[in-house]
Amino acid sequence: MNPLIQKFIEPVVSRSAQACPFLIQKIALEKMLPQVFAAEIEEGDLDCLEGRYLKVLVKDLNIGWSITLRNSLVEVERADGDADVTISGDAREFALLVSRQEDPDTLFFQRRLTIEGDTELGLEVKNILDALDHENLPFPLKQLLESVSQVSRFIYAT
Amino acid sequence: MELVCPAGSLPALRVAVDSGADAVYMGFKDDTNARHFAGLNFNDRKARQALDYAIDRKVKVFVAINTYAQPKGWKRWQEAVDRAYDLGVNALIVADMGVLEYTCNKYPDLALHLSVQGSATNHEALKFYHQNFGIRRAVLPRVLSLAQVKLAAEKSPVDLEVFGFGSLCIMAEGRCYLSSYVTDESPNTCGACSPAKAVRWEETDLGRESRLNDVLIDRYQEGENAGYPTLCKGRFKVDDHVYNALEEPTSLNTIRLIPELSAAGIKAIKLEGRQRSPAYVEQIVRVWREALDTYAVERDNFTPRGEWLDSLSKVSEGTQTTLGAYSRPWQ
Amino acid sequence: MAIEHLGYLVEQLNKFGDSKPVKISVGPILYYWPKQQVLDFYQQMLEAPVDIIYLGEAVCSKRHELRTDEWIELAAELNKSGKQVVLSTLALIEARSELSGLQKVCDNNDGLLVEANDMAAVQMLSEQKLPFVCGHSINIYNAHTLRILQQQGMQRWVMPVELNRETLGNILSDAGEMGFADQIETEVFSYGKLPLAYSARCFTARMRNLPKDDCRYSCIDYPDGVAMQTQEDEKLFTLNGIQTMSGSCYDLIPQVPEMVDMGVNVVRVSPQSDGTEKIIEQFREVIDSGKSETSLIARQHCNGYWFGQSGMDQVLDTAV
Repeated sequence: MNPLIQKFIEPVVSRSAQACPFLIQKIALEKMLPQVFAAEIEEGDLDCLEGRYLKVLVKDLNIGWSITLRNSLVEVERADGDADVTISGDAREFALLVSRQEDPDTLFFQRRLTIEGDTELGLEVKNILDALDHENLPFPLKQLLESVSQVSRFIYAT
Repeated sequence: MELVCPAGSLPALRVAVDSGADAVYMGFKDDTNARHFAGLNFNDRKARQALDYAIDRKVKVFVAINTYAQPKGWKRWQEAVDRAYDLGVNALIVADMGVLEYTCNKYPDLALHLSVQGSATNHEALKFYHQNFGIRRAVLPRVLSLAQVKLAAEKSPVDLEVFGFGSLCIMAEGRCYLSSYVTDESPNTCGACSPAKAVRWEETDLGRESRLNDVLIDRYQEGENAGYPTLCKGRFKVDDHVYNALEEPTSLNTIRLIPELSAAGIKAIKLEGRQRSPAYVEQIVRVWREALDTYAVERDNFTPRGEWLDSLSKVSEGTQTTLGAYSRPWQ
Repeated sequence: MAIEHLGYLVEQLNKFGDSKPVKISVGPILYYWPKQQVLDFYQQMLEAPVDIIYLGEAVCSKRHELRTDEWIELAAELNKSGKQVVLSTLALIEARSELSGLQKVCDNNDGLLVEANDMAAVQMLSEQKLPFVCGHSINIYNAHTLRILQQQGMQRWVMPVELNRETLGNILSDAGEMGFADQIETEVFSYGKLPLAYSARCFTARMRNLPKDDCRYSCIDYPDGVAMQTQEDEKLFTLNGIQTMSGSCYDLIPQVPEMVDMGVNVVRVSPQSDGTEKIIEQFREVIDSGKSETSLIARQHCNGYWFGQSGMDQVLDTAV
């Protein structure tokens, strides 16, 4: 852990994330997610989200989204409605999870991540994330992931 | 000793191979294997990729077809065996006698390992599976003490594999129905223990509650580590005392028994956790590879390093590890 | 396919319907009772309308109120009554001493039938070409497995308790198609707390903070096991040494006519410390009259497994 840097960076990220209008977040996510999950969507692995809502809450940044699939198209909505399953935690936890530096079950056992609602849906999404082939991601996304990984390694190194 | 590592997904398989596995084990995307969870395991395309990746790097691949075939699904188990054979895997890990018979009749050259779900806890049982189905290896249940492992190894007609690390089953595997008593699925029938569809976590005024089909399994206070609501690891009331009446949520870790297991003639160490992430697989495989390699050169004065134990504890359920049945307090 | 199965079932019904009435068995005592209580219980069983008596230690090898030789002796004595007597064996066999005890039971000189509850027993018995019964802890989930064991000498099998009536029906009709259904008997665990799991740990010793090595035979203080509830006081399991049992009593009395129709040959009653003979009488009444009037719901028992649901469920069978 590098508390000084964390102290400096977090408010910046938090403020910029909150300042970013929801519509921009929505457009960005709706463009990015179908690319990340192209193979999974095509093979029907993500059918579990068809018409069902996964809510992601980043607590310390106070942002969140409800994500669903409609006719195989990703839709992102505000996180204020009901969801089938809600996964919540701090930014650090999500960064470690997405960059595969920390095991989601470990985060969960240590209560740094919370799954509420339809556990099966939550675990299915978790497993799909785990099975995601980073090798096959489009180059810019691979780079983005690599940056998340490096930044989180730098800030959150334990 | 051969290091046999879990792979619930292609990325997990790759990191297991890259981190030093001698063999990886995996299952297909259905109830023919004992980790039948949504989003986990391999379809035909991924299984092919998995095989190619492992074989290119000279790592063996085992396929677990280790649930019990029921009449309605008999074809599914047969097809799983056929598919694994066609893929060219190194061995099948099987529990059901019917499936063992089918495999050894149809593919006499395909190596068969008796799954831990086969529940063979002694050499007489092992003899039965060896004589009738020609199994070449068996995975011993986690209920045996070291002395009992030694006894089995001494007289076993086949090679033995034991669990080195991971989630701890305190019941004899293959003969535990706690899950189907409370939900309608068990490891034997469906490949699921405490199926996720029946699990609910809820933050309440009394703490974080975990429920299985509405039955309260545990309640965690602020700062307490939580576990997956497997029935054997909940806190229950006996005689008005609330405690882990069956077992604490801990993981098995036998790293310090490497010399004794090796001396007993154990041929392979299995790491548990096909349901866990690639990050988990990478951490445990790396530590165990290093431990086994260290043992190979420091045979006489092998002591596990602090950092190995720390990184294994970190990924454990309840962040504690135990020697389980290998240790005195259990006996 | 379904029609063929149905045809087969009808054929079996005609064959067995009258000639082979369903039998009642009393299973081995799964708890740890003082010797005198055990002896008294079997005296009662001689008088009770049971056809088959299973006896022997099936749970924990440390229990010694009756030692292996004494069980064999008692079994031989009871065998003179004309009832069928079967020696039950341990379900979890790990230690050298447990294997030698098992060998002694399998080798018994009285030619008594043995119930194998672990594959070690199946191995010992089949090696000596002795006939045997497979208890409910032998994993028989399909007719292929059933045939393998039948070819090894199995005469009767007790269905694993987590299986349901549909699977049982399918296994029996598959066995019919495979041509060996008439060579085996089918027994169903029909009454009592369900044996659900076997462990290396002893939970009764654990509740008393005792190591298993020094359990001080704690089980003897709990003639029907120890109740375990959730933190919300919901009845969940029963602790019985290394065995975990259901909290509720499994009760298939109302389903006896259905079992008879399916071709079940034996219904098993698992002993409890009090009232076992009354339960047996109820089974006898249902079998003799061919219909059941007992209400399960009123008795707070469970029967979910039979209907393919959670074992702890109570299903009101509308057919009854």
